[in-house]
Amino acid sequence: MPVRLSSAVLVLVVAANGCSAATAGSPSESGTRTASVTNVPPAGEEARKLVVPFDAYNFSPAEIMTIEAAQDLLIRDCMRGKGVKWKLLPLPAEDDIEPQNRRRYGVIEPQIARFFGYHAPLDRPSVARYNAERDDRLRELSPAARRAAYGDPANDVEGCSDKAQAHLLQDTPETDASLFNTLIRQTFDRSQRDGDVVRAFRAWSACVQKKGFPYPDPLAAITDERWMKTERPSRQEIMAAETDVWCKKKSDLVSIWAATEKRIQQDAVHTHAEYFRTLKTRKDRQLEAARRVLARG
Amino acid sequence: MKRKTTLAVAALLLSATSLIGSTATAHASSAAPDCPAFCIYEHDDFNFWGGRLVVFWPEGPCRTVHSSRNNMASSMINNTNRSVRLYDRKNCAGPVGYTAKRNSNDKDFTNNGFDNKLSSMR
Repeated sequence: MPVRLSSAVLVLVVAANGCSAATAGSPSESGTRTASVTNVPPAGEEARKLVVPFDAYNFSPAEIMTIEAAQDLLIRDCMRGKGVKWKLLPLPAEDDIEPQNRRRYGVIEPQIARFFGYHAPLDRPSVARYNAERDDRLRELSPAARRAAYGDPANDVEGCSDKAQAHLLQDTPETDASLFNTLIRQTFDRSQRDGDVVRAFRAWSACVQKKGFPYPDPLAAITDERWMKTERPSRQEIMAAETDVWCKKKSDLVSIWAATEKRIQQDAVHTHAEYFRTLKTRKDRQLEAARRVLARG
Repeated sequence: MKRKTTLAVAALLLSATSLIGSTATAHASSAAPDCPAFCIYEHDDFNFWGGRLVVFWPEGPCRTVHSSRNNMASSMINNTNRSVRLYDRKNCAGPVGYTAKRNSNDKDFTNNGFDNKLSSMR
């Protein structure tokens, strides 16, 4: 039987520190208690506000969902023409969709640190429901419906899904995804060597070290193998994550790092101006086409 | 030895797949082999010494690639009905390196600047 993480009813019991979700005090100053979580908290303002220049050229999870919702409508129309039903699904609330840069600098939301430690947060209820229904839809397709939707690759027969994708991509220029993905990685790496960021790392590191967590930088903390060995965060993991977030605030690390990345990414956009113009056109045209389809219904 | 380890990992993940539940195949290309969910391969053209690393996970949590497979993936098949975000750091940290569209495949990550970079995904 498929296991579905229906976040709304998932009860995750963790040993958490701190008194309230809004509190951002030093973890060592707050009392230890056990918290029961019956709902996945919404994304914090810290994650929502974190934007980098490359976001204008990349698809966020919310934008991907917009594209996929439009594809679903196109698939439905195409399937109808073949006499096959395609179930449309209610979209999740936009605020429930994960912010694009949530874990870019490690964990930055106090409430998420408290509930999940360094574990990736579960989907919000409406997103979890949407994903489960998508999985069910695919699983329940008859062989004939599957062929209509996804074609017959062995015989080079296109399905409605291919046609839907092609529809949204028409009139969009071709781009070299390799350069963009390489720049994303290179600029991020470069930002970590920038003087301001290195100084912020040192301040953050000294702060977490005082609480017993000897990490040189936030990415070393979130990628500590210990946190990936358990299904649920340990008390120590939560303590480390809360300390991490608190020290980020204290050292102003997120805004320093984001400002540095902004400068480096803007330089890259300037250097590859024509390329980024094409990327933007490709993204905007796809989204415009998707919104037209959604408006039509 | 290496092959044995690989297949053991694949077998382990396949058994996890059967426990969790997998989506049925939705092919995206005639060149792609059958994949029940989301599969990554060490080499181009979906080649993993004849085996494959099958990954399927419930929504939400991040999946970190086993350390023996870290920074080794060169191709993928996404036969799930959702996009999968790939990261070049463990635990889905740092920027998204590459987004695998739903029902798609990529026989050579080099084309997307992501060859031998995959460390985690969600």
